[in-house]
Amino acid sequence: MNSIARAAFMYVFLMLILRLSGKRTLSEVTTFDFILLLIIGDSSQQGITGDDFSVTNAVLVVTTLVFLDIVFSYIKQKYNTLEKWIDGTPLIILREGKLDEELMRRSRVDEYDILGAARKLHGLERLEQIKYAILEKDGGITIVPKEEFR
Amino acid sequence: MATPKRTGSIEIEEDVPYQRKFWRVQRVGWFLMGALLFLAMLGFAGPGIIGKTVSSDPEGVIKLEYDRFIRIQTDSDMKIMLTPPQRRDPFIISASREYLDKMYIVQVIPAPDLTEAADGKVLYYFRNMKGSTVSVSFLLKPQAAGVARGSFGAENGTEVFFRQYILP
Repeated sequence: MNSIARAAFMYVFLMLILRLSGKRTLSEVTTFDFILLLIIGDSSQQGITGDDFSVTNAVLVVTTLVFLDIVFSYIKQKYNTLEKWIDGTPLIILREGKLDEELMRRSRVDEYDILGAARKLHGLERLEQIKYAILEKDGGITIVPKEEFR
Repeated sequence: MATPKRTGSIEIEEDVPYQRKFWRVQRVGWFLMGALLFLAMLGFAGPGIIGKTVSSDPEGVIKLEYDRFIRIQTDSDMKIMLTPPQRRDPFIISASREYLDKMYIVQVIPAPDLTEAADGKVLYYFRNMKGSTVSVSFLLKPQAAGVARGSFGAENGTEVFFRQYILP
């Protein structure tokens, strides 16, 4: 019972804290982010399992996490508003070559992030070659090039 | 299932008003994270300046030093200083059973010469202690989250009651 409650609490807590940290926090995993992820994983594991290293506990914890994930995916599918709050929505941060600076500032994205995604995904060189740049729910940037640069 | 809105030539479920609302919530979340860390540093989530507590009886026979906020399955120290009106051998310290039932006793320093169960209490006997004040440390590991109430007492019946909050 205790390990199920701990796992459920940590699931909700991690969902909340990672959501509050913003889209960009873990979108592009740098070396430091990788270390951060390892530390988060290790700290959470200790909180969930405590000093119970039994197979029973591991089975209960994994089952709880996977079950909660399934439940949340159903709830999100049913309630659109909740899905928005849990997963967020995409944001168009560049339209027809024009940057939306307010959205970018608040999302902690700059033009170099957009240019980086444009280079990586389409080999584009300049902002004016981009029709739309979209900050996706997962924090990644999608680039839609203008017709003539496709 | 909702139909995606069309923005320009792109079909996308963008919702800028929601996003602005979320950013406000996010700022509150960041403030709360900062507040939590600040309070934790002060001692509201375990050992720290605010959580460190000293309780004693009016005559000063028993003085307890402990952390008001402790964590489950994490070692915590309870220091008992006993200054009885007359020098005795052995010194006797009583601990309430109600409190000890919530704790796993890792170690008592110095080790008692004898432990005895009494009515709702456990008595610890210490022989050959030097000085007029005896200092005994209980290294404890809380077993359940919640409020732990208890008391430590001396042979003459003086008791100091206290309360600790065990965080999950």
